[in-house]
Amino acid sequence: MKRTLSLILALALAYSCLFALAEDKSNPYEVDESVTGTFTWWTFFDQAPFIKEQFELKYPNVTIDLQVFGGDEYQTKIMNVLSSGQGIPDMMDLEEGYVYKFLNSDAFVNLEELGLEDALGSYYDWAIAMGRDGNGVLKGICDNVSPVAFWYLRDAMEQWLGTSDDAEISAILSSWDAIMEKGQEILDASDGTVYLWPNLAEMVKVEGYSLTPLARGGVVEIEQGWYDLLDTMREFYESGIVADLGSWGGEWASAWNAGTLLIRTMPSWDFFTDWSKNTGNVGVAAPFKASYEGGTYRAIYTGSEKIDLCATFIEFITTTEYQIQNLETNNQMPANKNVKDALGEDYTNANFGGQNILATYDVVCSTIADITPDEYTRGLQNKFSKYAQAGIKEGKTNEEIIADFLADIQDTYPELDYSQVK
Amino acid sequence: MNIRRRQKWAYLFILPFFASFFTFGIYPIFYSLAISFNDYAPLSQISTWVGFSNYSRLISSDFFWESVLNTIEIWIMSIVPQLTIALILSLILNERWVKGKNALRSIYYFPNLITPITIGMLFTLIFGHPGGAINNLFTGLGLMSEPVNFQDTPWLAKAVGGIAICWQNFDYNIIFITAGLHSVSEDVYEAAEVDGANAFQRTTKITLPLLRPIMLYIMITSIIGGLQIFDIPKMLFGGNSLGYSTRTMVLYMYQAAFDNWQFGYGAATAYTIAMIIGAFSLVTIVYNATKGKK
Repeated sequence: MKRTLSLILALALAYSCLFALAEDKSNPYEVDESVTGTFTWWTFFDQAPFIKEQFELKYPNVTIDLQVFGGDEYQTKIMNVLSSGQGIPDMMDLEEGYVYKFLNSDAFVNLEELGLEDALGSYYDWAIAMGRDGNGVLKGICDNVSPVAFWYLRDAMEQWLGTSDDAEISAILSSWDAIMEKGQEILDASDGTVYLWPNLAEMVKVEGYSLTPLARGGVVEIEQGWYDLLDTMREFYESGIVADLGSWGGEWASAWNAGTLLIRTMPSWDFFTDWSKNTGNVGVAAPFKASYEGGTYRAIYTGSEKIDLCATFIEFITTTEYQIQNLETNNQMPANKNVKDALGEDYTNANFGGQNILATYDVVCSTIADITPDEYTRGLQNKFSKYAQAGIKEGKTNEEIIADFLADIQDTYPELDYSQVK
Repeated sequence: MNIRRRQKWAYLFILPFFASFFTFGIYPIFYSLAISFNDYAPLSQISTWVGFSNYSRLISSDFFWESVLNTIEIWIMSIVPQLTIALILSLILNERWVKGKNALRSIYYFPNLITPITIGMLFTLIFGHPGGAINNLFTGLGLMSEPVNFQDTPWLAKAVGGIAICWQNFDYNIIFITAGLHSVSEDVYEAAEVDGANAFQRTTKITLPLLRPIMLYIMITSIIGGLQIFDIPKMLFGGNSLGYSTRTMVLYMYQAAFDNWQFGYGAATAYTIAMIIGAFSLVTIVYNATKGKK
């Protein structure tokens, strides 16, 4: 009995040693043991444990006290600790929807002064711009970007468009007129059971960042392009080719996964794909207008005693090595363009049927207009989308829709200047 | 131990309650009153005195009054069926011939154990378009030719909110009405029976009048609670019903304070809501007192 037990323990020890060696070999980073310390990181992001794990592979002597908070109340939690001055983490994640409200305060470190701007030499300009405050000071840095693409199922597209190649799909769906025409053809051929386009809101999502933002420098101004978009949305709605399934809804997701809705315009982090059913059958095509949705920015608290350690972390997440791991494990699109060069033209992704999604997303990321958003950009775009959808369904004119939209934003943001739209 | 020394000990025992009450109850009330007269920046904690401008902005906001109207409409759509169902079920469950009444009372109480957030999501699925459970059922039975878009029809969206709140709370009212029914003396019913009153007459002439105090209590608590509805409308249809048809006044306050960080305006909204609820409660009390005297 004793002999058997000793043998088992010896085997276990040997296995552990081998496993540890194997682990060490798989470490993609050059280990740096000179950096030591502990810091606290708050986030809402469910993939943060992966990032922590990667960082600790490179810096084994650094411990991160990671705290993940789910739900909408995360920003309220940050605001509360910053207001009270108690229990503030050294570093925190800020999401696109509210990042500017925080960055415009003095609570966050100027990352340029820490030399971190140098790490962004190969970043997309618009991805850097999202991390700047109202004065253009860099206070937040992301590790991935969220370009919007047409998500499709390969077999469904083969059946209804005759191709599953992303470049060919982009060429076929190269304008609103082309989408409307194809949508009608597919609807007729399927006896009204298969829709190409999901809803009106996703039209705003495609166009939103190709138009001058609805407010710049605190002044509300609505360029002609927004009116033209309303006309196109109305045309779509009246033609009956829109499935009218609300984005992010259960029916919208299940229709797409079942192949009765052909396109969803979603960012690269989309989580509505049923991978158990559609692994290898998914494709993404670059839309004819480039845009993005979402963004997670890491910022360092000015009162932290671990600023240098946090800066090391932020510098780490900008590296090509880490962003390759993040792409391969989580399908997160790198903000660093060097990843594409490092992986080469032959990069493929099995989840996406062997498609080089990096190349597709690079097309989108490289053509996103260099518009520096501010705290009103996304909020006003969302409200425009809401009133556009409602007004078109209620049969309102463009002027009535814009009047409703302006009344709402005047109620919500009375501090903006409306003299250009009255 | 003399009385004075005993009194000192008594103060010590009640101190924890009053300390927490003043810290978490009274102080925030006065603090938010002060904020409502300021433009308050939460991160810098800089307050700028703006007098009554938050209140004047609120009073002139069509969107706020729309949210007040939404709240009242949703409340009416929930309270009327809620009290009706609760009263009917309480009367039935109070009858001697009903078997398993304790089990039924427990079953009726189940919806109250579900969180409002879950109920909001659940009703979004039930009343979804085009393939929610209701649409599937009615189109499947041939009762409707086209599925109804509850989310994009303002009055239907409100009705769904009302039904959800009713479903969650009718059981809570059964408890109070049942307690009220148990407090009515059997002697009164026996006397009425001797005088030849039938079951309907006993209910309308004895039970309902004697339930007035408990119904008054339910009405006042329903007004206070019902006009504060927030969580179900916030979750219903993902908060995206057409226009702002399910935005209640508390939701309006929440969005001003926590989405837009306009805490001064949010505090002014909160005080205005308190005044509105107080006014409704007062009207109910006065109405019942007047009716009681008659």
